[in-house]
Amino acid sequence: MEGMFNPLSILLHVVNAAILLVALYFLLYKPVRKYMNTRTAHITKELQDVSDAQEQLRQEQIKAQDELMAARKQAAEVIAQSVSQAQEQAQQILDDAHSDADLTMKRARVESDFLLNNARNEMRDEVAGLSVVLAEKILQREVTEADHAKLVDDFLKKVE
Amino acid sequence: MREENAILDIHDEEEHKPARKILRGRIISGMPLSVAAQKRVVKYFEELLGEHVRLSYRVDKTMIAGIRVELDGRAYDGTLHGQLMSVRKMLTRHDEEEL
Repeated sequence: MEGMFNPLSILLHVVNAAILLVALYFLLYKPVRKYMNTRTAHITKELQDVSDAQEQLRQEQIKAQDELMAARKQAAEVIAQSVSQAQEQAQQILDDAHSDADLTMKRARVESDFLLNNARNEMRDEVAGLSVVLAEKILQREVTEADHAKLVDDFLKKVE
Repeated sequence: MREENAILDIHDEEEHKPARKILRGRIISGMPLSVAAQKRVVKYFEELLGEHVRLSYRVDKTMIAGIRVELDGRAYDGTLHGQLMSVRKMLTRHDEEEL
């Protein structure tokens, strides 16, 4: 049991342990810590980059959305304007067509009135002509010399 | 059918009076007209116009009855044909406003 409790041995073990600790500190702990710090910084930087990228992406998304909305709005305006123009043109075409139709109707009415009047006048002329011819034939058959003498008398009374 | 008679001149029976000019014309009758009636017509127009009148005479049956006197550029129509033509003209007169 003399070797169990040797102060020198203990001291040596302590010194040994101390030296080991120091060695471990410098050889293991510090490099590892340095590595870990480096890695942490790297990861932190990468996280920051990712965050920045995400922010940039978000900003670009917002910008793209704004541009999309503006484009949609412009498209809607263009469509609305086109529709309005098309409607105006359609109405103009319709109005022109109505106007032409009215003019055509008016002309047709005037023409038909003219033709009707012409036909009426022609018929009247024909009837008058036939009536006169018939009257002549009847008179030629019926008139006497006494009628002739009376006509001469009346003629001489009226002429001036 | 026409009958052309000699120009009727009632002055054959009167003394020559050279003062007035002579108007020449013709009588167209629808039926035969007696000489007395012809002289009546001539005398009438002489009084009306104040000139000597000489009228030829012919019958034109298309006049039907009555006489027509053409004298001094004018026509005096007393025939039935003339009256019928007037009636026809009146019947066929077209009012401008109708058109």
